[in-house]
Amino acid sequence: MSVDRREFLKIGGIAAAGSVAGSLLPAVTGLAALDAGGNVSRASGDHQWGMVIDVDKCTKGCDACADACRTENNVPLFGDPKRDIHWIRTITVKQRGVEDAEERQFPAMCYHCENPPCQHVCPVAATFTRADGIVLIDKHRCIGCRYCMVACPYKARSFVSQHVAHTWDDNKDVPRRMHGVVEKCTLCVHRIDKGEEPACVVACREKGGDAMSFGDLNDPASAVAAAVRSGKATRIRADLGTNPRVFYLGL
Amino acid sequence: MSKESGMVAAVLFLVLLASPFIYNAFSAPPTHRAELKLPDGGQCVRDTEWMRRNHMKLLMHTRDDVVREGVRLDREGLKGCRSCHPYRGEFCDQCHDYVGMQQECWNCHFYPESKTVINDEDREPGGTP
Ligand code: SF4
Ligand code: SF4
Repeated sequence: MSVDRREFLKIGGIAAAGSVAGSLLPAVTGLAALDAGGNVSRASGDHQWGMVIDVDKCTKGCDACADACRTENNVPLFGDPKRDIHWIRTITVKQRGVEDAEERQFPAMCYHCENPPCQHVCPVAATFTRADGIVLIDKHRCIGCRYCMVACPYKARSFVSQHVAHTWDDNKDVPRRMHGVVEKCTLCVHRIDKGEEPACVVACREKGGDAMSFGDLNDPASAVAAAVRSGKATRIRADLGTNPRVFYLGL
Repeated sequence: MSKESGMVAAVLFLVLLASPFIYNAFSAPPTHRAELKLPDGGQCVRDTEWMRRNHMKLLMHTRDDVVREGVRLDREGLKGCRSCHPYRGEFCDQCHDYVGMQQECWNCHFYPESKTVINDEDREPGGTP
């Protein structure tokens, strides 16, 4: 089939119009995207998963999100602060240069950046971004070079420096890991694909201050999109241009 | 070298050359045989002949699909294998041990070795499933 230039431009125009219309449609399928086939789900660009964390609601001394993450994802603690693995951790901050500044706590994690430096430096393309915006590490490919740990400005990644004991109480939905790879928050991708929210978000709602909300940034009706639209949501170190998909309120 | 010693050397050489065959002819038949426990009935995701040669390719393909694209076709992955062949000791390990081919899947993925290991009363805390 030959297509002349006019024809080609016309088709291109229609396709572009179609994709714009498509992106304006609110997500109708909910969390688990279904293919036309009916039962095959696939990560799709229709969704851009993101999170909004309200710092004012994060309860001082609470660690519910981090605990839930450890249980859900079988994240080990080696008992050596230098080597411990953290997918999400609570940090305390204080305004610099202010007398008696109030100490505030909030969770820090991988922010699933739109422009992830960790991915750019990975020499074997083990770190990649899924179509729905989740930045993941393919541990089958990772060679443990740790370039990404240096590149991530948020200290979101940890190196598995020693053997991780497997136990019967592991969550069998999340594979354990060999030592010698790097790992980080997956935004509970195994739960998202089932249509559930990340474990930390659920834990924060049930046991903590309900500070975290998770949703589709592309869906105008979602709480995260509303928070971002309000203009009050900020990104950590926005000056770096990494464009995190995790936003903070009240920071 | 005399003619006789040359003959002796030649015979010795031939005997040495044939020694593996001679050894095998007189030794007991191999004791380990791969004995796969197969499920009663049911149909595998591909036909058996194909699976025998290509299961690793299918698993690799599924693996990349799941990790990279989020296509969760559990039926065609390790979870699918497990649903008909519940214990790897009775299935995967049989052939893999026989040919001395290591499986690295279980370093991270869950697939219990045998029924005795999975029984609650027998499970060792911290043991490898
Ligand atoms: S927070 Fe760090 S690890 Fe996560 S995507 Fe951004 S740069 Fe990569
Ligand atoms: S440690 Fe692994 S994920 Fe990180 S840059 Fe190296 S190969 Fe990529």
